[in-house]
Amino acid sequence: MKWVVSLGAPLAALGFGAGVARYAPLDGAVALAWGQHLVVPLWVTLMCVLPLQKSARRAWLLCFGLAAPGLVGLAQGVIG
Amino acid sequence: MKFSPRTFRAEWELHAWSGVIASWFLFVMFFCGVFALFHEELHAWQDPRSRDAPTAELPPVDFDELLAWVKAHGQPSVGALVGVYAEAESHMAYGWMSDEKTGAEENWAWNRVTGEPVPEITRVADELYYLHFFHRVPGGLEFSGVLGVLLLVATVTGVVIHLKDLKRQFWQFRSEMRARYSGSDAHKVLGIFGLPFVIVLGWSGVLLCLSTIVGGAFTWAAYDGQPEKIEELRSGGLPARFPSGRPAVGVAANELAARAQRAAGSSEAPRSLNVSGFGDEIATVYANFERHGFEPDRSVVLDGRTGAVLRSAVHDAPVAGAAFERVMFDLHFAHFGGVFVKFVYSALALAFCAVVVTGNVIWLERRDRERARLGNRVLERLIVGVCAGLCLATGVYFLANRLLPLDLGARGDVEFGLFLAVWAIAALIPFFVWRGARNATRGYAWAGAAAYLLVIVVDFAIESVHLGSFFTRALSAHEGEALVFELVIALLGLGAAAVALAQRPTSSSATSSSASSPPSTPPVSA
Repeated sequence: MKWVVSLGAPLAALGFGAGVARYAPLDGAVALAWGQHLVVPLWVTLMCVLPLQKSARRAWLLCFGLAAPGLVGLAQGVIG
Repeated sequence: MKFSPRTFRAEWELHAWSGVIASWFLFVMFFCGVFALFHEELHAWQDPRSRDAPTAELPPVDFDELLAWVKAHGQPSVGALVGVYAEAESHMAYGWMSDEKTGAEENWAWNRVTGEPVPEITRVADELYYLHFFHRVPGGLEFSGVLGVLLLVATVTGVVIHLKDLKRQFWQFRSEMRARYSGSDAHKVLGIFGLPFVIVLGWSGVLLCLSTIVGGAFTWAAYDGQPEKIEELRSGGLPARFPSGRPAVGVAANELAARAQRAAGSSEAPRSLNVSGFGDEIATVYANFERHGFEPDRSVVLDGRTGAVLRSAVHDAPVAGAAFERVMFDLHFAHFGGVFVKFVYSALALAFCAVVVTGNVIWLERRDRERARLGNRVLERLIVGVCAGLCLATGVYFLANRLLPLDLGARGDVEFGLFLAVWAIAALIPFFVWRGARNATRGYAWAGAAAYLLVIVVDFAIESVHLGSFFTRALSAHEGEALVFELVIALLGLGAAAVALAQRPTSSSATSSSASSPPSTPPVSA
């Protein structure tokens, strides 16, 4: 069951990428480019790294930490 | 560089599982990738009627006529997506339409000299191209994207677990040893040689397949649910151009093509014009040109109503991100280097197919040499049936393309149905008749080689009626494409024969006992 945590990888990668596109202090097109093109390498890296974490809780925390900017952005978009 | 045993073990398991889960699908994607690479050549090869007209007497491409033809036959609503494609060297013209208002999705082929529709008699090129990313399966594109991620994970973890002895893996191949070692050597040598190819193809493939999902997520998480913001940023600040629904008279298509040609600085007319927002006051026209060798992209975007050039790939600075994607996609589709690069890509794609198969051999030999577990017996039979069966089924598909009568009703469906039936039967046979993986692979590979080589024989038998003109006609661009695909088929046939010869026969008693009897030793774990 420890591999289940790999499912957090795409969510974390998408959330982080969206956070970069939204909050990075760069020109809009550049921020979008960085955000979009970080998704795939980050997803793959997390798939490789998450199973190495000492516990599933730590792996999920890492996922939520990375996804946080995107989740905040999503909340801002929905609320405001 | 050496990792701790725990890290090594975790990465090894991840490599094995991601590889084995994705293996059949990746085999299909890479094998069909060869036909996707040669899509134009296969398109020229698949329909003998496209070679009927003498090329010297062809008038120049008239885009006004082409669009008028599509308008007359499709009657697109204002705001529909419409496209036309024609080559100066061929009398064939192609058009398509996607009309959101009526839900109509149409494709046509016609003779641009006579205006006569050319009914579809085959879909070989398109169906094999679609199979490359499982287009016919609902959600197949997104599924292909996830497979691409698994491919990248398997690749990265494969490098990680071999970092300690990477140099040795470049050349070590012990063909005389048993499958576990010779397969392992082949897996590593081919895997390492193809590493840059697999990374680029995998990454760009994921970008292509998952762009809708990523775009959707970004629309909500980064741009407050406004997709037009992404459009604007990606088009270099051009305001997003969504059709308004108000009709307007636009500039004539020939004039637009001429303006695009001037903006691109091209000596040739565009190959295709695609119109977004057809007949709308906010119509946008995309003119695409053929690319020779390592030429850069020369596409031009025009305002359909005023004819103004909105963007030219030659003159305007590339937009961040779009430039990166352009490079990735050019690499993915081999939009450079011509036919030579396509052959190199094909060799690498087929080498990757070998990596997939040998990866499964390693899995089976290391974990369950006696095939004691049901799952591993199924895996072994599926990998033979699906992979070698696809090779055979494709050969039969090409053969059917040549042998079925041209006036057969629903000929394209019959061909495709035959292909699927042969593939399905080939995938199932190992579950009923099993004399070992080598014997089964050998049988399929010989049958595949025979089918491919028979296609060549049939083609030459047909062409022998006017054999004197075969090579002369082959020198013209269109016929040249068909001839290139003839070469692809010949090489596939020879490759299949080589695979068959490489499979040493095994005695049925030895293989059946190894498949059904309990293991003499406990299964070797990773």
